[in-house]
Amino acid sequence: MVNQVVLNHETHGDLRIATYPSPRFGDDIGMVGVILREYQRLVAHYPIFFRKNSENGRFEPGVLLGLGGAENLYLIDERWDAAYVPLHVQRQPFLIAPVGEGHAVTIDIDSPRVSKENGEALFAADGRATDYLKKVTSVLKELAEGTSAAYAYGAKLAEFELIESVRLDVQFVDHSEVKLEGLYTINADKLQALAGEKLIELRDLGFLQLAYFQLASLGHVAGLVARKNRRISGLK
Amino acid sequence: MMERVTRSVVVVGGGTAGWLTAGLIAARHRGQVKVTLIESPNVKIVGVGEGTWPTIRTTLKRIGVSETDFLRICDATFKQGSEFVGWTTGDDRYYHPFMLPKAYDAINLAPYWQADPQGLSFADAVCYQPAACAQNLAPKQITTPEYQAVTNYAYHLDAGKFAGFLRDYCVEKLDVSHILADVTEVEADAGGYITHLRTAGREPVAGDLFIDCTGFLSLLIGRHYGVPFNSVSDRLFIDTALAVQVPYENENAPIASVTRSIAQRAGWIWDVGLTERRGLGHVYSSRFTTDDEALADLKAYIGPQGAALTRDDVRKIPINSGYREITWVKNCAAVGLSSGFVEPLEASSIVMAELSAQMIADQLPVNRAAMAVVARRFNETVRYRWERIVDFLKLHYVLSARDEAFWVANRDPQTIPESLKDLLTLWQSRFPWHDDLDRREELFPTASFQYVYFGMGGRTDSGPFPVTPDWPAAQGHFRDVARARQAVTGQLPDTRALLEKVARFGFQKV
Repeated sequence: MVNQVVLNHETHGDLRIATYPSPRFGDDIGMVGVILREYQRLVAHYPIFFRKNSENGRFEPGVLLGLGGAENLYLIDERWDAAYVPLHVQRQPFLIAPVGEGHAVTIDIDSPRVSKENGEALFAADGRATDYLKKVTSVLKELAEGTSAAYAYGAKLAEFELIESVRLDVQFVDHSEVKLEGLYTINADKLQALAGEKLIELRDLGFLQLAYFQLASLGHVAGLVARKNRRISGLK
Repeated sequence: MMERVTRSVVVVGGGTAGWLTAGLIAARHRGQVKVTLIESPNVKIVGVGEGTWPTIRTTLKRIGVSETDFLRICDATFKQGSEFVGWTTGDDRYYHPFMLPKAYDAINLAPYWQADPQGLSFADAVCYQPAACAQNLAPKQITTPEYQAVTNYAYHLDAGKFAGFLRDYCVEKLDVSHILADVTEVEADAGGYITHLRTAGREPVAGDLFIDCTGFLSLLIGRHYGVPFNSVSDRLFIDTALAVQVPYENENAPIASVTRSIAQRAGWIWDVGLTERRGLGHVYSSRFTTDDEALADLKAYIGPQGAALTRDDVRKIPINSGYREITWVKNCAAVGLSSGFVEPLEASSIVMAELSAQMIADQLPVNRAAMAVVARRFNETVRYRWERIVDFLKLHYVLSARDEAFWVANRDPQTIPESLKDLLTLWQSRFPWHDDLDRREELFPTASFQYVYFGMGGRTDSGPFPVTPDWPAAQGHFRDVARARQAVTGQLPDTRALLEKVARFGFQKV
């Protein structure tokens, strides 16, 4: 269970965080949310889809990491097999939560990443944040700032009726099959046909380029299938 | 004049039926047919229909409105069927859900259920929807796209707001011309075809096809053409309604996702939950009770929320159940209350208007020659539907074992239509099934007859003839229903919680 508590150096001064990825740390996830500022880096490695937030039904962009359930094909043993790791993976096991008037960094104190023995220290002996914690804090800030923009992007594309539901039907080398639902993508024809004020609005918001990035990223679905086939065949 | 082409449709009446008809025709024939709606500034809409059938989702989608907008503006909630309380003995309840029994196209599960009900009602054995209704669950999630369903559903709505919502959309998005005026005179050519309508203080309105949506007034079909009204009061005894709106006990009170219908000594009470209030009404036969007694019974049902109600707080609506013999004459068709009305027991009013309007929109005759054919078919179909509705409503009464005079009189064979008697005779020895009804697209499928028949204790004795040839298949279906009941009820949100999310976030179109 997740147990987020507000981070402070009095209570958490001696904690260390394991920063490598591992299934033991819950990194076996099939999809992870992303923000728009990541798109340029994501597009080289991952297929970007929309999914619906289960609480409010809004479209949120995310990258597909596996083909079914809690499968992460970018996670090979305890190595992340891509040059860029999404911020929502990098931030683990921290979050930003509203506290009183402002916001505070919280830590999942029960995360298996957290120990007193292994990994990066959070605080120096004098109680000051380490460079690692500073980096995590800036990642969290970036995510906090980027979340509403990501929703706005999804909402605008939905408003222009550019989003469509897709189902991935995949067959693997061993003839096993998987059907993935709940994914949404951009309709390329509708995007291409967009004209006039809507087109200009999308460009001015900076969403047009992102939409094309997102469309281009879908080529990585084939890469995911190849990764899965290698895994099925016992190759790393 | 035979080749006169239909380019202009004039709808008279600005209630639910009028705007539904204008919307369906305008959306379907945009740019080709001019649609005008004339609404009297002096007539209040009746707005009896607060319940709908799942067809309404297709209808709204066709007109082109957003489900989110509709739900927000019309205070609408979800309806997954009806719950009947006290209809059989006074101490009983059963559901008539919108979802068909499991595997309804492949196997009749009724005989298997009757042979071994496993402690379940018929509806619960063959369908998981009653369980969702019993828990006040919504028929979908916030992630389910507009108009799509997890469990089949319709809506409860505020009919006054609904007409206004459709009007705004029709005028702003579908180029329907809206004229506020009283029609004073109907002008027809030598052949009896209406040419134009004179209105108070305005230019006459010409048209090729006229739709009478003037409610009980039935201005064109009834008054102008003099088509007789076929009363069914000898079969359906309800003749009066007392309607009232009451607030919820508190802002977190559950919102039911069924219409509740509670049997009374000489009629029944409807209980419909909207977002901001409950709509209730007592419909009864004045032959068997008085207005004062009916009001007292209504107050007793409402409880503390209704304790202070007086005659002035309730709206008394006369109900004259019946329909026009013919609903399309020359170039004039009736849709809505002008066509007919029966007591609101199975919410037939709006769905009848939708089906008639849809039929006109689909088959919009291009010229007068085609119009005569379409009119003939329309009349046949509408009449057939009204007869089926009467049969289906009467079924609820004849299966009752209640002993008050109203209920006893309802079981008098003289008051039961022959077609219903035939069905009841068949069902004594044969389980209700698809081929019991005539048409491929029935307003109420035999599934509805099954839910009511078995829900009210009806049984079939097939004698020596085996009717349960495939137990393994049936048991498999019963297990599937039980599994689905767990899975789906675990996944569906509370109705009030979902409606609050709809108000904040809305559904996505995809």
